[in-house]
Amino acid sequence: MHSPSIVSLLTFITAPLKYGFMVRSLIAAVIVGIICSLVGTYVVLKGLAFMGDALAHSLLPGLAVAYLIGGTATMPLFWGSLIAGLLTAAGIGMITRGGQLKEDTAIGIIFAGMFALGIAIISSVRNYSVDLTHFLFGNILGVTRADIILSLVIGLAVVLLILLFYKELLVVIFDPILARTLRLPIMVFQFMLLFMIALVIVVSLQVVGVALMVAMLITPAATAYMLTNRLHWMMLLSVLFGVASSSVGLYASYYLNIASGAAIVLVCTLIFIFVFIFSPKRKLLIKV
Amino acid sequence: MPYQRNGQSEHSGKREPGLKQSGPEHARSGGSRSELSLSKESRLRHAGSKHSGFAVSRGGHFWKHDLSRPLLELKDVTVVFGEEEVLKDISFSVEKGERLAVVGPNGAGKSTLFRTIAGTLTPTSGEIAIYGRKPGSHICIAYMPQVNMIDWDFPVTVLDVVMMGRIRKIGFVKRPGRKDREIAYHSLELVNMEELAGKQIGMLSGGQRQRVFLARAIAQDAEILMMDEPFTGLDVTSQRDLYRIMDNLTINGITLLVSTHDLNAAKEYFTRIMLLNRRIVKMGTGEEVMNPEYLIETFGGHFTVVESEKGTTVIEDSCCSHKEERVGKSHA
Repeated sequence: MHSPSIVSLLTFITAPLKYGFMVRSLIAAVIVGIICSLVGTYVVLKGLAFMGDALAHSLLPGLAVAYLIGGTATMPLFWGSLIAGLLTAAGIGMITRGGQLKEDTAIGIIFAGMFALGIAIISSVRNYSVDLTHFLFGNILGVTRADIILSLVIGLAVVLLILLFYKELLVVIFDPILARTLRLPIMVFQFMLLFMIALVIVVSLQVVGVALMVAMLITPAATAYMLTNRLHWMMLLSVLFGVASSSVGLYASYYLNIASGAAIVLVCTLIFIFVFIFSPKRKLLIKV
Repeated sequence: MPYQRNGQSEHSGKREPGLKQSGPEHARSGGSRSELSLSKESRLRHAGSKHSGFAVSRGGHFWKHDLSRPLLELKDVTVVFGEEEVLKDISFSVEKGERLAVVGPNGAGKSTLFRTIAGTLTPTSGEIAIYGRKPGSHICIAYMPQVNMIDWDFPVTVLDVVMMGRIRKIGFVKRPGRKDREIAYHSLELVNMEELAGKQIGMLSGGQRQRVFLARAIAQDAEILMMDEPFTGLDVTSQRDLYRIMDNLTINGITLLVSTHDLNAAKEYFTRIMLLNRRIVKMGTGEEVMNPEYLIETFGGHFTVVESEKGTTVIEDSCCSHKEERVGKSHA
C-alpha cells in the first residue's frame, strides 16, 4: 500500500521517538518554538533584539546560584533565572532613567557584568566546564517532565496575555503618542512586554541555552516580517517557522550528531536566508 | 463625489439639528460638498455620549461633563523644560465647535501647548479642564503630532491604524465589533481614503499618511482635534482637501485647534487666532490680531508683511528653507 519512500520517511520520523528523552525533547522544542517566535514578533518590531540577548546572558548568575543550591531541579532554576532577569531589567531602567547614559550602553554594562558574575560563580565548582556548556548552549536531552509542565504553563500564560491585550500592545508599540493621548497605562504594558520576554527566555534556556537564545526570539519573527503586512499573520508565520526550525533542528541533531541548540538555530537561519533571497517584498533590498 | 456617498438618507432623527449651523460662515463656497454627513458615526456619537452629558468610555470610566462650562479651559498653564519656560501663564478657553488657529514662530511652544492639552506632557503648573473636568482620563481629545514617530514598515494596514483610535471605546480584552469596523471605515470615507483601507501604511504618500491619522482621530470619536502644523509639506491640492475635511469636522461639531505658520490662511479659515510666543500675545478674530504691534511681539522683528490683493501675508524669517517655501506659497 505505502510506497517505500513514505515508509522510510515514517521510520525516519518515528525512530528517534522510541527514546523517552527524545519525545520530551521534541515536545519542549515545539513549545519553545511557539512561544519564542510569538513574543519574538514584538522583540523584532520594537527593536529589542539587543535587550533580549542581554536579558538571556544576564540570567546566568541566577542559574548558577540556583544550581549550586538545588542542582538541576526545575523550580529553583526557574526562580533563580527569573530573579536575575528582573534585577537586570530594573538595573537597566535605573541607569537609563538619569538620562546620563543611552539605553544600549546601560544594557551592555549590566549584561556583561551579570554574565561575568555567573561565570565566576559556576567556575567555583570543580567540573564547571560541563555545567557551563549546558547553560550556554542548552541541554535539551536533559529536559524533564517538570520542565515541560513549567514551559506549558508559562507558554499558555504568554499566549493568553497576547490574546487579551493584542490591541493595546499593538498601540503601545506602534504609536506611543497615541497610547498616551488615549491614556493607556503605558508603563504597565511595557513592563508586561519585558516580563513576557523574560519568562519566555527563562523557560527556553534548556533548549537553546543562553548564547543562542536571541536567535530563537528574532530569527523566525524577522523571517515572517519579510513575508506579510499584518501583525497577526506575522505572528502565525513566525510560530510556523519557529516550530519547523525547532523540530527539524532536533531531528538534524539526532541524525547528524550535532549539538541540538546549534542545529535548531542553524535551521532558523537557513529558513531566514531562503526567505530573504526569495521574499516577494524584498524589503531590505528595495529600501536602500 | 466621495463625500456624498451616504447621502441625506443617513441623517437620522437623532442628529442634532443645530449642528449644521455651527459651521463657520465661511464654510468653503462648495456648498454641496459641505453637505457631507458623518452619518453613522455622528449618530452613534450623539446617541451615545454627548447628549447624556457623559463622556462614556467602555473602558470603565464615567466622567460627567459639565456642559455649562467651556469645552476646553486652560488656567495659568506653565511648562518648564530644565531652566527654560517654554509656556508661561497660558489661560484661554475654547467653546464647542470653534476653530482656533495657533500661530507663532518656531520654538514658540505651539507643539508643547498641544502636547500638554493632549496629556502627553504634564504642565509644571496650572490647570487644564475639559467641560470643567480635569482631563485625567478623558479620551475625547485627539492629537495629530507634527512628526509621528512611526515605523512606516510596521506590519499594519490603513484600516488597522484607524482602528487603533477606537481601542478605548472598545475596551480592554474585547475585540472590535461590526460597529467599530463601520466607524473606522466611515472615518476613512470622510478623508477619501476608503479605497486604500487594506494597504500597508508604508505604501502611502505623505498626504495620504496624514489623512490616515486624521481618519484615526475621527474614529476616536473625539470632541477636540488638535493638529500640529498639518499644512507643512502639503501641496496646494492636499491643503485644499484638508480644509474641506476640516469643514466637515466643524459641521459635525468637532472643535479644531490647528497650529500653522500661515497667518493669512488662519485669518480666512478659522474663527479665532491665537498669537503665541511662549505666552499668549493676543487672541481674537483675524482682524483683531492682524496688528503690526502684536505681530512684532510674536515674531520678534523677523518677519516681513506682504500686502497683496489677498490680504496680509506674514513671512517669517527664522529659517531659510522654510522662508523660501513660504514665499512660494504667498505667490500661489
